[in-house]
Amino acid sequence: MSDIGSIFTSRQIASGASWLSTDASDSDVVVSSRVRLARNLVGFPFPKKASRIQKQRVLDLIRTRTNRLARTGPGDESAPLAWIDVHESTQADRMLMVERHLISKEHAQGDSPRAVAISLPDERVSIMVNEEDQIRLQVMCPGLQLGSAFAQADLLDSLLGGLRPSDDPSRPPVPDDTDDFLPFAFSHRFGYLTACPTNVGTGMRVSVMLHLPALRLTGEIEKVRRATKDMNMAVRGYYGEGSEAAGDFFQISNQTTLGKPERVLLHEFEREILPHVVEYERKARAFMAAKRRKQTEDAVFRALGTLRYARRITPEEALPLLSQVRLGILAGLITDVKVSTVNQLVLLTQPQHLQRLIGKELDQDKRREARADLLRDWLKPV
Amino acid sequence: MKCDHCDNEATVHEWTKAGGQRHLCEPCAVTAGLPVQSQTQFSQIVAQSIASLIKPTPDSADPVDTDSVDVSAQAQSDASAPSSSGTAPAGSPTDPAAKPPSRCPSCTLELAQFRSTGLLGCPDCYCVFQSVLAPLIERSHEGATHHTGKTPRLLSSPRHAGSTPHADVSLRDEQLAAAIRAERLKRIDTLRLQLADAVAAEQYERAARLRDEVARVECEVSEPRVLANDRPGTSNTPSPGGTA
Repeated sequence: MSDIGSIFTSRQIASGASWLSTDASDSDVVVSSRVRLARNLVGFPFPKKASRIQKQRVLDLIRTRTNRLARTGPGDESAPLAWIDVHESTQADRMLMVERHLISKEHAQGDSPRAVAISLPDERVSIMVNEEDQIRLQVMCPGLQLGSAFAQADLLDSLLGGLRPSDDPSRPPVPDDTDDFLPFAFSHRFGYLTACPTNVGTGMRVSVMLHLPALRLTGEIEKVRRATKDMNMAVRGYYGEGSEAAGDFFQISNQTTLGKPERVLLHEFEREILPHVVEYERKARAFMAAKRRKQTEDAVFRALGTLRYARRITPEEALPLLSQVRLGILAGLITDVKVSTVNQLVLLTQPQHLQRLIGKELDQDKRREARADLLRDWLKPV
Repeated sequence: MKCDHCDNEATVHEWTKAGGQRHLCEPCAVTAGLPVQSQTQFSQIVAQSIASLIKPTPDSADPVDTDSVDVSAQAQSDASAPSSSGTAPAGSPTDPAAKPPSRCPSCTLELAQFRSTGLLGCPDCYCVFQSVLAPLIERSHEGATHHTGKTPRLLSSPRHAGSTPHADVSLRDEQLAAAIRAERLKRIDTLRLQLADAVAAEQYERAARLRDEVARVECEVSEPRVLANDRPGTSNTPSPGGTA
């Protein structure tokens, strides 16, 4: 098992997460792209129904296969994978991984055998073991890069399951020895079998995190919610299922996982649905800039002012303000702060990140002060 | 956000010079004399462009018909493969008169538990509760009834290889099938030993589960390429409630 301290060094934490980078396409609206595949092994109950011994056995099987990947490496496409036994991690470490979107809140809870394998140093890949399904393989990329995220997820899935990746017929079959793969539970009718039938089929969930401040300011966000729901998409908050949209950050994902090949699902999402939402937000931003300039300027500079001068601040207050500042930078109103700074602050103002940066545990009151100090320092006028 | 005056969603937001805010739905905003025309036009234009994306509900439940992108040829050949193989079609309608079992013999999940949590207990639940699940799955996946995407190595076969560009998969499948068969035979031996132990210890419920598992794995050994749970007519699932 890898030591979390050696994985998330303070330098790594201070530099944020690679999926928050801003040099990717459409990153003015699309913060990050994610593709997730759900898989289970033949011959074992799903985690919720499995005994501790069965969960441990599943974990061992997947660790063996993952370690093999980590040792040989699947090529240039992926960094080595570090293994973390989540059930043996401290609550603080677990919450750090939740904040970095490496594991879900549900995965962070409970002490039955569970793990996560993370690609380092980029943290693009995370494989949760014994979450709702035995394997939840996710690849996150900055901006709109669903094709790239899918390609990497598909490759890793194939490496784990002993199949040539579906998008590259020229690639030699993997792995080399045929008895070294994970046998995935599958039915010709229903596809990959998952604990929840809403994931059955491809087991693939495609999602993007969008920053939609102008749609919220113009009151159009409800229309987006309704339209995306009609198109069988789910709109969720910053931390996915069950979370509220915070600071105008929304996740949109596909609901349908059966009946269409992966590439069709991906194409429909990326080319036929998403561009309209992105364009909608851009039009709303243009509308705000042209018709409600003073109102926009007021909101943006009030937000920046608060962040620059506050002495105590909660994450709930900071996130919507950072969202306004992000809008202000993209609208050309704020010129002395970078979008990448705001993106990183969204992460670094979270409780665990803040404490890692400071280097000690803080109570809630002290955290509020430390958060305000951090924001003042990072956003100080040039 | 709710409208200040009624329960509708607020879509018009007003910030006054005095620092006040009003959040109203469009009808209330009109009543209050707020200028909502320009925003309505703007929103209508963009909403229409989004609405135009919404596809009509597919008339057919056949997923091939709903595929609009140019991969339908592969999807079609995959979907038609089961019937051409001579086995029972995977899409055979299940007998509507048959009462679904209330409990999965493999993982002991009760159907009522699934109804309350929405989660199944094991892969075999898809076979056991198929008659209940199939319509649910169809509803939650836009009418789709069959998987047309990636197939894992375990179930790859010359039949599937023929429908994909990977024509040389079949040779490796033969080697793989032999490896899987050996693994399953080993598992049967282990299960039989555990079964003997369970009977000796008079743990009859455990013994029944092990017996069912032996039967399931034996079935997989005899027909390694198709999972029994695709074929309701030839199900190897033991009757629920059976005891050793």
